Amino acid sequence: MTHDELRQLIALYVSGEIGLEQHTMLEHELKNNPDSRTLFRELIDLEIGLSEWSRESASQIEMPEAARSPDDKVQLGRQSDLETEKAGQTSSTNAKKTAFGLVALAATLLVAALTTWAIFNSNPEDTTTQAQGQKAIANETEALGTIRQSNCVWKTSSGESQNRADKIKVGKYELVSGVAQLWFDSGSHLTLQGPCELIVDSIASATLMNGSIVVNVSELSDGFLLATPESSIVDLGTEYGVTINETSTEVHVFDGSVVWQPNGSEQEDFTTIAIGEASRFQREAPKVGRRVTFGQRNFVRNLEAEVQRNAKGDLIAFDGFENVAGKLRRGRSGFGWNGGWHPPGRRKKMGQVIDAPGDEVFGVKRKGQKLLELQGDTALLRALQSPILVGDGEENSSELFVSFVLERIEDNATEVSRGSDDSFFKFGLISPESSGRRHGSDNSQSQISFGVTSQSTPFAKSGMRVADAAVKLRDTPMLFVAQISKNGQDQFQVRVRIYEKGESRDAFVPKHWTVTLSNATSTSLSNLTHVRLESGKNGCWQIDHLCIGKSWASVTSPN
Amino acid sequence: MDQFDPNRSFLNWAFGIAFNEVRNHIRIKSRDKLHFDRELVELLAREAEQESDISLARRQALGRCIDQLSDVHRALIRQCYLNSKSISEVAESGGLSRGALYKKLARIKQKLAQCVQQQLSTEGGLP
Repeated sequence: MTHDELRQLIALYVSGEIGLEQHTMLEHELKNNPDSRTLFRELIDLEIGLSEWSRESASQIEMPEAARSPDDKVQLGRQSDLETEKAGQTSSTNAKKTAFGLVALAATLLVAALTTWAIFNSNPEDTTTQAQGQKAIANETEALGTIRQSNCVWKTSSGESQNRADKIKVGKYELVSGVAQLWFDSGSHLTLQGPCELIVDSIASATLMNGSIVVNVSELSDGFLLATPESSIVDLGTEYGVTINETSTEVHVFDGSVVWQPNGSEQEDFTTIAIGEASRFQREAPKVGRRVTFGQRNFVRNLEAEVQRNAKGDLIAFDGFENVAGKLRRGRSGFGWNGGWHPPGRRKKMGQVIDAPGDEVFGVKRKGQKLLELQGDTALLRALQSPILVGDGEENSSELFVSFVLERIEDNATEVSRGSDDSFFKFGLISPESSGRRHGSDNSQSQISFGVTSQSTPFAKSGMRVADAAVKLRDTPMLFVAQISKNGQDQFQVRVRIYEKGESRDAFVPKHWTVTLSNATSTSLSNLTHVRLESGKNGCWQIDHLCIGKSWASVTSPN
Repeated sequence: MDQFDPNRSFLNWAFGIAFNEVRNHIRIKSRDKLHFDRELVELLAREAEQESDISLARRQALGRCIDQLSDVHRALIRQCYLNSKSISEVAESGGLSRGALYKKLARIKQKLAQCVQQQLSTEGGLP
């Protein structure tokens, strides 16, 4: 390892932004190279020295005009505290100063080392104490992070206002409508779904008074303490949703686990809620929880809020298949839907939600996420929240866009080969007349469909008309983006652009398409109510990040 | 800090103090897998104790080196290390991106590290 590489790793370690692989490299290097340890100590000394100097000089040195910003008042306002602290330290000897630096170093290192010890000895009560301690040091002017919001209405002291200052500060947040995310500099973020009332207590704690939020605690965060009027919820590496109303509080854990601690209770009253579990607690008797169906509450989760924000309101429906419990029928993944996925007929199989590969395709970061796999003779239907009306009068959008990431998978288990007969994939939009189920048979026929044939060529179909292209698609992740637009009285065209992995997406509606189906005639396109996904009996397909929107940008913006 | 007895083993004392200090902080760090193992921590702490004089000399030299920085750079360090504002806010108030601020800080720190080395070499006692 070169000197510069080592410096860079140490800098990342100091800033807390080091990754796992880099951390392992650094640890190995430090263990085996005395010179590297010397450099490590030098740089840690530098950090400690800068920190000490900053605190000492804050009360002594006038900031230059050029460097002063309005926010500096906040910083300078803290000098009195620092002076008090410093006054108490003036009698310290050099030996003590040395010891302070070394303790800081030892403490820095021991924080890491003793973590292992803490895992085996952790006591949730101490966690609460620590997080509550953080409440005490927050002040009302200190910015604790940033707010990401789109079309949010907030209730403020002067009435209701569209959006609000984008800095998080200690205080009350009343979201009347919309979805907002509070990104704390501590590494956690909260997704609020209006109506919601939250009091931010510190950079690592808040109290939910009413409504629904999702708490996401990143691995770099030191944790986040969410309180309700009757309890504290301590995360243990987690993403979870909480909803509170007049009578009860529900906690749904999407990842990791949490400990529910009723106020004034003993440890034996604590309840641990693990991934895929949900509990409801009556506010009058918060010590006793009752298991409820996971995902019953329709939380707006992190990813979905992000997608909505990027789409600027043009996204009609989205499904990232982030269904932790893997229950497609429950319909808790995505937004813009009415209920979950179900097979259109008895003979059709359900798909399954599986872990996505930890890659990034077409701007979609899939590490830790899920996708939908359709294997064999599989078909799924899902109803849209509202019928889609394409080009039917002035009120309706003249264009509809659909996108998804698709990959053909070789199915080793059944020895199905690529390109074998009946291995197609089809995406369809369906009108009410064709979406019903009668006596277990599949009567749902798509008004518009497109996809990949068994011979790996792309196609588009509407009614009796079919268009395909003499292009052989490769078995790598592909991004399908389709445009359905009216081009005459009762006539539509369906155009599909397929991007292969590594290919740049167009920023705007492209001039060239992979498949174009012109002059499709259909009278049902003004009332599309369902989406249908289908795989041939020898096919195995993975689909992810399904978007339906009113604009090109809304379905091609990554999360 | 006042409880430190210079006649006792620093390492034992530091471990004791740090242990207690840290104990309250690490409860909710249990998710953080990025920690050095105990063997390395002990090795670093042992070597730090042996080099406590050098460490003190380094920080005294650092104070002189900081004096040589421009007012703007000193103000920047103060803002970043006082923890009264987030790095993002400091960057924003200075019209910089977060990445640009990190780079700027890295350059200042590199300059300071070189200055400290130079100071110690001039004093003749240290490498």
